[in-house]
Amino acid sequence: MARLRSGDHAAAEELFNASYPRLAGWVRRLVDDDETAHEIASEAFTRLLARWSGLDNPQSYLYMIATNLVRDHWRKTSRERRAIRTMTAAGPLEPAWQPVQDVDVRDLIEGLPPRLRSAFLLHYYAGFGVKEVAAMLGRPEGTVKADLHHARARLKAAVGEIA
Amino acid sequence: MTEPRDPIDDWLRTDVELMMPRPGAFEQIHRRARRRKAVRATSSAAGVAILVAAGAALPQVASALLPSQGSQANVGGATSPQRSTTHPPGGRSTRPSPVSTSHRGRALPITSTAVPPVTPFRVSSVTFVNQSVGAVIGQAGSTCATGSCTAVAGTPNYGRSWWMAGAPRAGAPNGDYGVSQIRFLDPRDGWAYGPELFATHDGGATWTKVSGLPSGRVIDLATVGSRAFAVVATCTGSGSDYAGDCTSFQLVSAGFDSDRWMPVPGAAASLPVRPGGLQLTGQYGYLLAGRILYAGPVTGGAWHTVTGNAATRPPCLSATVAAARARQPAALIAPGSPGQLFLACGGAVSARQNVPGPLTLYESPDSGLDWSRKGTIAAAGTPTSLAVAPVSGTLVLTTSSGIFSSADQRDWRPAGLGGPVPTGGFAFVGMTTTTEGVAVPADSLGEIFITGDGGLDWQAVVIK
Repeated sequence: MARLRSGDHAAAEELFNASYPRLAGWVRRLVDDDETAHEIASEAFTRLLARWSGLDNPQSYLYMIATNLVRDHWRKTSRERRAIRTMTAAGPLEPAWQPVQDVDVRDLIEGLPPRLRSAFLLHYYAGFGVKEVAAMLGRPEGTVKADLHHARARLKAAVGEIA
Repeated sequence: MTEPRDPIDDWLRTDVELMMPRPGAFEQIHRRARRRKAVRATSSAAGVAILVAAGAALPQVASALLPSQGSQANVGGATSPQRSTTHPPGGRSTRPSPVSTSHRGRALPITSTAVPPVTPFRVSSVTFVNQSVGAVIGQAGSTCATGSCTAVAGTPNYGRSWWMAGAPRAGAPNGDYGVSQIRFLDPRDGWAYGPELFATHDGGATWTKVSGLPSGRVIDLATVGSRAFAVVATCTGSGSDYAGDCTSFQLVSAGFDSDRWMPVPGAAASLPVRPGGLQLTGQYGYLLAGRILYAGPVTGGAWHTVTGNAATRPPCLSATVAAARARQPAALIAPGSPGQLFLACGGAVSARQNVPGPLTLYESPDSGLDWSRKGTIAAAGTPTSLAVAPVSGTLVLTTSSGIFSSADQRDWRPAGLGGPVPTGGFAFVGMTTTTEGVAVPADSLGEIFITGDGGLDWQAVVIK
């Protein structure tokens, strides 16, 4: 608590101004709309600031939270799609989603196993190095490298199947 | 021969488009984080005491559960003296197609002359289409005994200032006639209802009575995407209790710019129905009528009865219409993130003491197919409305005794109101965003309540 001082407020605001636009934009490509992107980015910052005094690498923490929130969002969206599909099994499916180009790739990433997906998003998409991703996920660097390799292989295979 | 393009690489190489934060976003986030720290500290220090206090409040939970709603793109709600007729508009976390002020048309309600509202403005309903633009409807002025004082006011800044808009030519609700509720889909297209239905397509400047509806009273209306849905019910309630004793209903729908309301297939029955049971999310809608839960697409197509898993079905839901006609425990529903649905079930009323059992919270992750019991809701008073804050998932409940919130669906805390609880408590709550929400007193003397910190603290805002 001793570290919660006025200086931390300024540092937090500086981080917010520097990181929010990119984080929100990063999330935006993973969700359906601006509103959800803003809300996920805001929630990530809220959780970050609530733990501000105890963090060594706030930037990493921020993206980890956002990754988890996006994962939750995907999971719940997917549940809703499944549930409605079940309920309306007797009738024709509604054209609920209007896929755009991004969504196809996004769907493929969404379909990755969770351990591969987190590493993929943090490394390839958020731009963190393998060492940082390993620290963020609490896994050995070698494991992360292997996960990234497997993720790319799966995505390429999935693209091949679609083509 | 060229190497085939890898869409994964293309996707990864595409620059992220920066999204600037909204004005005041950092301060909001900072306040919310501070509150969470404080709550966490309080929880760890006084957890046992809180549990004891919450348990002591349970016996006060009452029987009649009145409606509420929280949907996706707009938040709105209402109140009437005898029966709360809440209905939420929508903005929610995972709203796939949020309504924005740039969407279709000019800004809501505010007339060019920017006339301040007549006071006192007794609010019966509120609606917000985003975190800036909203409107209230109510009875304004102090000499309404012999004439209609129905008025609409709009705000461009989430309640910091208000201006008069045009109003429907109708009085306060009285049996089959009048209006008391308001909903806007976007800054241009809106509806005033309860029990009659009026529409505006010019930001509230002019209102037209909608004709061609099925016979009955419009007791609920919600908007999302490009459509509005309304519940037309057969009711015998008199005076301001126009939504009382409704025995059958029909769900109807219309496009945003059309006043042609058409029945929604699959959603009509001879069942009791209450205001607030209609909840819309970005893709799907829910309607609780009697003990039957209906669900269906908001983009067109039939709705269906959700029978779900009998083993996990909450006691206030039923799989058959016959059972649903039996005396029902009251219930509130509120959608969270896509697929997530919360249900607050009233306990059975004791025949000997006429005391209702405690309110219990259930959660479904899959639109009502499966449910899990989350625990007893420790909130004093008669529950009236339930809402879920987008993304954070904080639940906010209004009752006749105040506003209560829970960040974890188990530990409920009374919200700070900056003063005494309004007489009669609250009739409606809706969360527009993770942090911003609005609540309507059951008997507004001219104010609504607004939160900017996710429902922990609320401030009275006088419409003037």
